[in-house]
Amino acid sequence: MAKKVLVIEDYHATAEMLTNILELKGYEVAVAYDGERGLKKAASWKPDLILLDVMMPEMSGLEVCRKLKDDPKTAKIPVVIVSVRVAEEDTRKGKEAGAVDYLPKPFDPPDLISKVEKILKA
Amino acid sequence: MKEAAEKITREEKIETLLRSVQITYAMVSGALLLLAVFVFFGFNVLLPVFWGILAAAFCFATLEYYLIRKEWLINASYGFLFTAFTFALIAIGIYYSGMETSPFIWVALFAVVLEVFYYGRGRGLVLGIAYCVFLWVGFLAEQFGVVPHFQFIRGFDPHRQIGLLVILLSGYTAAFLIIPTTLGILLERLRKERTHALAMGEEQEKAYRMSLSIMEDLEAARRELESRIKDVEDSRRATLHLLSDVERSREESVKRAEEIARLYEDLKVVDRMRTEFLAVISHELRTPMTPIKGYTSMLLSGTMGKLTPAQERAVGIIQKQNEHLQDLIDSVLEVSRMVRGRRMELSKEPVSMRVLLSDLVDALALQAETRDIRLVFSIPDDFPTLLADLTKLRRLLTNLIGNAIKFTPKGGSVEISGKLRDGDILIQVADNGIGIAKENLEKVFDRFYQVDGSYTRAAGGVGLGLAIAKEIVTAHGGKIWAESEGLGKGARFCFTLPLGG
Repeated sequence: MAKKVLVIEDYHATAEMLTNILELKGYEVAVAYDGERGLKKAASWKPDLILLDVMMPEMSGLEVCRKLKDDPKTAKIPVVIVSVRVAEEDTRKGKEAGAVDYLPKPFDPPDLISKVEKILKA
Repeated sequence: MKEAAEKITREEKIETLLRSVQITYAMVSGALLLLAVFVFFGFNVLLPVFWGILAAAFCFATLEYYLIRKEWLINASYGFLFTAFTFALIAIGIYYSGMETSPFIWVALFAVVLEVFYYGRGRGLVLGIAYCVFLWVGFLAEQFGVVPHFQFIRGFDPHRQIGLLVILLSGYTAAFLIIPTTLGILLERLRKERTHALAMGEEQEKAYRMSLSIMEDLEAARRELESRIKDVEDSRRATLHLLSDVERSREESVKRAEEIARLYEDLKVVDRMRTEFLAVISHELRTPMTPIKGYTSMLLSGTMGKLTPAQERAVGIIQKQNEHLQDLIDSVLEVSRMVRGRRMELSKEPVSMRVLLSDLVDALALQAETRDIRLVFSIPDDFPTLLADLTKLRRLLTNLIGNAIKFTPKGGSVEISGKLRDGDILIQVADNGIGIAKENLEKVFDRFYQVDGSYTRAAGGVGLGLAIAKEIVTAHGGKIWAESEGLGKGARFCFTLPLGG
């Protein structure tokens, strides 16, 4: 059974590209375009991995991440933050919020694949 | 002055008049005496001579007094001769008119009194003794028959003699004593007064003149004071004026300073906004770049289907341009971080400068070749490995070498060399391009600095390349500088990095 990856990303083109990359690799992908819907989807769909954008309207990725970790139903799902914010400070904040990894945008698709595979294998 | 002169003339006139009155009076009294003698004694031969001599004596006595007292013609020493002459005349008179019974005894006595009165007791005493001695000598001479008895003058009558004596005394007193004395005293007083008045006048004149000059001085001083006051007033006004000017300019400068402070605050706000804008924009730009990069990569890797060579080339160009765009955005982000005073973050790892440089030279060879530029690379084989941020170092060197290639004319050369110096590594990138003016050697590292329009292609085209290069070197604890002999003489960019990282 294919592993499920939830993409929470407000930028449609990026969300679509992520879906493409992951589907080509055989993953089952769902997309949520904002934090609120992302949380709901995570709770109901129970993905194996969440790719989370940070800069989103209304609820920031960091907040979404914290909520995911606070909710026992989603707390165990690993979260990878994919963000344009690449400073050390941002990485640190992401880790503090409970993310397992941090992928800076723009990224090379092979980098994403290798990160995802590494996390899901573990 | 004129009044004083007039006063003198008048007083002099009075004095001259008085003097002539005195002399006339003395002469008249003498003549009157002679006349009286003739009236009382008749005109026999001896008596007129005798009385004449006697009258002359009186006149002389009068004149003597007058002349000596005024010290006019005859000085004091002659006064004694007159006295002696008077003495002789009186003594003869006494002797020949009856000795002790002679009325001339009284005359002699009176003469002594006058002598005392006028010349002091000493001379009076001498004269008195002289008379006594003469009388005793005459008396003894007569007793011994040496001289005959004195009563040889005819018509000598003691009673008449007494009457004569009274006349003589009164006349003499009037002529000799009272009138001249009174007149003398008056005259003296007048003289004194005149002298006094003159002196007073002179003094007054002097005082007047002095007061005049004092007045003049005072007037001058007053004028001086007035002009001083005016000056002071003027300068006070000028000072006030100046003060108001100063106050005005102070207010202006305060206003200006406030304005500048406000402008500065505004500028700070603008600068912060700009920095924030830069940060936001660079983040915003990354967002659309992400799918571009992802899809180009996917297309080129063939995961979305095989591309024709032409398509592959086109997508390759898109990918390269996207990378370039990303570089630019990274530069902007870097600078916005620098502006905010954040330190550059380094992720250090062991870096082989030799490997890095040869990779870069390979990567840039094509660019150099198209411009017919020789890329010379000399670095020792045993060049040490250092601890540094590889990505940042690559960026730094790409920038320096890229610049060197861009600013070197066709057919030139760019030399990259590495060596060790004082425990640091020293990398030099030298070209023989357009060079840099001396005054700009330090400025080239300023943010947004461009030497001229031709620099716009360098380092992302916004003049950030060298500023970032400097930031990278500084963050590693090294130094960067530019050397150039001047415009058209090429340039050499050097930087040091500590071996320890």
